[in-house]
Amino acid sequence: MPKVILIALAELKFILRNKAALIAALLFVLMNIFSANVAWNNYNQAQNEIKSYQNFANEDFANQPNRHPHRMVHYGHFAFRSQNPLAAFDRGVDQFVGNMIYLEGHRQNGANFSDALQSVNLLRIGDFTPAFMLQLFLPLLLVFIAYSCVSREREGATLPIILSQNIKPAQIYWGKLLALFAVALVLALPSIVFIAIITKSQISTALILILAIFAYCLIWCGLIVLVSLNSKTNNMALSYLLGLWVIGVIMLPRLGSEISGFLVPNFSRVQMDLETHAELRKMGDSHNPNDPYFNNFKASVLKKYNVKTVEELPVNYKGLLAVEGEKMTSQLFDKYNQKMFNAHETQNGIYSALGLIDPFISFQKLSNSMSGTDYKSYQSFIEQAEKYRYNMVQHLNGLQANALSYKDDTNKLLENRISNENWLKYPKFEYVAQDFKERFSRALQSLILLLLWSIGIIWLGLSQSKKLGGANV
Amino acid sequence: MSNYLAQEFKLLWRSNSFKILTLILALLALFAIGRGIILSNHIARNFAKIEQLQIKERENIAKTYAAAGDAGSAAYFGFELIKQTPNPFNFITQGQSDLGPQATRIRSLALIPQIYESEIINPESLVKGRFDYSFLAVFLLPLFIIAVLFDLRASETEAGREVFLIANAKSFSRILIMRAILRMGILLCAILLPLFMGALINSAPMAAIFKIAFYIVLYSSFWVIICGIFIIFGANSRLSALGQLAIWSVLLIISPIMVRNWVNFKIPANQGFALSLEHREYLHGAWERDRQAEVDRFLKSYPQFSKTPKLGKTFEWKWYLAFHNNADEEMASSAKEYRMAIENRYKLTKKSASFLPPIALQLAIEETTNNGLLNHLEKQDYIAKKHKELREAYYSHLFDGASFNLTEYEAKKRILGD
Repeated sequence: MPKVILIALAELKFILRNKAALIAALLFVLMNIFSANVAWNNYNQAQNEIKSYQNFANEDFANQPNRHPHRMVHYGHFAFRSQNPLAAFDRGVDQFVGNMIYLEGHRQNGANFSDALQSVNLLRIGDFTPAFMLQLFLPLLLVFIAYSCVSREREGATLPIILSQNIKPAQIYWGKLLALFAVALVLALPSIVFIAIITKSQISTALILILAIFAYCLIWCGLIVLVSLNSKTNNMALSYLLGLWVIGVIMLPRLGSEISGFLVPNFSRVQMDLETHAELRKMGDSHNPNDPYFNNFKASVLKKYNVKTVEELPVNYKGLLAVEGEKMTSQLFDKYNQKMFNAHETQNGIYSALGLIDPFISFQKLSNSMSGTDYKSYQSFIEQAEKYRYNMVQHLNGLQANALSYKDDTNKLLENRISNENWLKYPKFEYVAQDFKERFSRALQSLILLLLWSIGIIWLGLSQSKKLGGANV
Repeated sequence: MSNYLAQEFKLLWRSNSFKILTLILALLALFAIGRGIILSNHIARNFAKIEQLQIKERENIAKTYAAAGDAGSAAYFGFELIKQTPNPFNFITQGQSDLGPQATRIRSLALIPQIYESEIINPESLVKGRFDYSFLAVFLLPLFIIAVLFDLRASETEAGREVFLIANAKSFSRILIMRAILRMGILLCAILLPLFMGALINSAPMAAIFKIAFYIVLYSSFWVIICGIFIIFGANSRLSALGQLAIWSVLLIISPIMVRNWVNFKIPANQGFALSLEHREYLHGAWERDRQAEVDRFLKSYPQFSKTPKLGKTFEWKWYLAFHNNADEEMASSAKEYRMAIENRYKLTKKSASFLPPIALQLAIEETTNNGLLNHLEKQDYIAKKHKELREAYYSHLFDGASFNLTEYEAKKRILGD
């Protein structure tokens, strides 16, 4: 049998003899299964709720009576955020973003009713999902199980004995790493199975996630062996590794988000509203009869239809005005929204650059992106809802322009209702989750970082392992 | 005695790891306080900017509607900003209030869609949480305590000095207690001094700061006791480190998540969706209902305007504002139910905190700094109160025919709460 395998088997035997480690591992696996169960139930419950409310909203909209189209612009619609099943694996930003947007004319509302604002958010450490167990606890457990993998041989003076059996230091390194990696994979197995089950037909998503899990496990295993072989005593190995865990998993992510917040400050919704309004006033006011912008608009419409007054137009001028007004405000809203998205994207970019020094950050990023629970997935929901809102409002404004006459529409004694057929057959809002390509393009950076880290840590471990053969052991 | 302490101190000062740990804790505390002060200033600056923009916005309303004596349009278009007094404790933690609106503008239309408006926040930064002072105290301080105490006895035992110490000193346990007190004293100085510095810079009320410091000392004692138990049972340093870290992970990572899940499962608080849908249905349904009946319903709540003339044939603002208020009244009990659910979630969480010191400390700091979930609800109550004042001022113009003009508008609250 190859010597590497022998070393690995001996290490595995040692790990299996450690009762405390076995209990901890068993607890971890049980917790992992439990977390999958809880997360899956939560996901389904939330999803059913979202679906039923979206149906209610659709029915409400379709069942409106004959109305003036502008009433429907104000009546508006609701869009609810549904999720990719992988949200049960990694909830990502899920609980901090709103689940419902009110879509109405003249305004772009934010998504309201986030889980976070209606719960007590204790310590904000994460959600109880399989991803959380993998990201945070798996490394800790591995440290616990294997911190002494090499330092033990040194402290117990068994290292010279092993070396004297014509085993090379590199073989010791590979053997230990192999044993530890096997343990890590066994511990990660419930999550991997869970991913395989919930991704169903999204095989490539599952494969990328599983590849990332392998890399993340390998990085921590490599790190543990590396630190252990560089430590004079078991205690030193343990304290270095625990220190690294605290820094990499608990402290750096928070420091990173603070730093990105300093560099790109946030602004509030009220400020954005006010700035938008101020800019809108400069552009033009459709209520003001002497407004230059709308006077130009009027002139161009009259010219287009080759008439002298709005009364002579074959269409309802009020409807045209509504279309133009909505176009103007929406462009402005989009501009400010883009500004917001960009600010957040810069913050998130600064943060993910920290993945260079912290594989935890890369792994979390990748897992969020692939699960469709990262910022961009949320942004895509907002953008789809806005697109739906704009089209709906403009459709209704168009109805006002074409189905009503200017003469009737300006008569304050008339209600000017049009048939409810118009809302009955208007297409429903359906959120389309981003496809693999989009999600993968964002995960790529993290995946590359994770792979580089894996290679780097093994290379470092191998080169350091040469020390084991030195004279001073 | 003091001689002995000085000697122990010298001994401790020779330990590089202790020096480094203390230094790191002090630096982290300074960072947490510093970022808190920067953040508080940022919030204050942002609000000042908002106030300036709001003044411009108001000028426009004044010019366009108030000057024309159009109270209805002024009520419809005129958002008013709610004044905020800056929270002097924001430098410690923003608690839950970083999730809610940084500033609120309201108008006299129905309150329900307005009050649940969310803030623009980067959700990715929220997921990571803040590196604020309360995080440092609740989360990281125990790790530092564990790090300086876990091998208090075991290091002596493992170095073979325990026998020697027992033979020489009056009592080995007394030495250990003295050493523990000394180490804890220095650690607490490292974390508490920046807090007091921050309080002085931000001129925060000192009573509350002392309260928070007291909570932190109390919380530290809990962790000292945990370490003490390991010492009493003579656990070796490895077992101490791993055991204490296991306890830390259960108390700080597992249990908060479990408590949150359990509380949210026990008390559903999903009324928001239904509330919004039903409110909209009732609100826009007014266009299908009898208009005079709508005003009559409103007058039941506001009998002081019952002399108002009957509606004419065309659109009237008083009808519009009346049915907006009716919609709020219609949904008042659902809104209250929603609010109660959130409040009950808080209460249940607090109950569980009696068993879990980290949660207890977190909630105590949030309560002391007025940044808890209940404060968020109180803020909503305050907004509702200001909203009532605002719309009632317009009612008197629209229902009673009180004159409305530019001076009238300018004299009224510029920024609500002034």
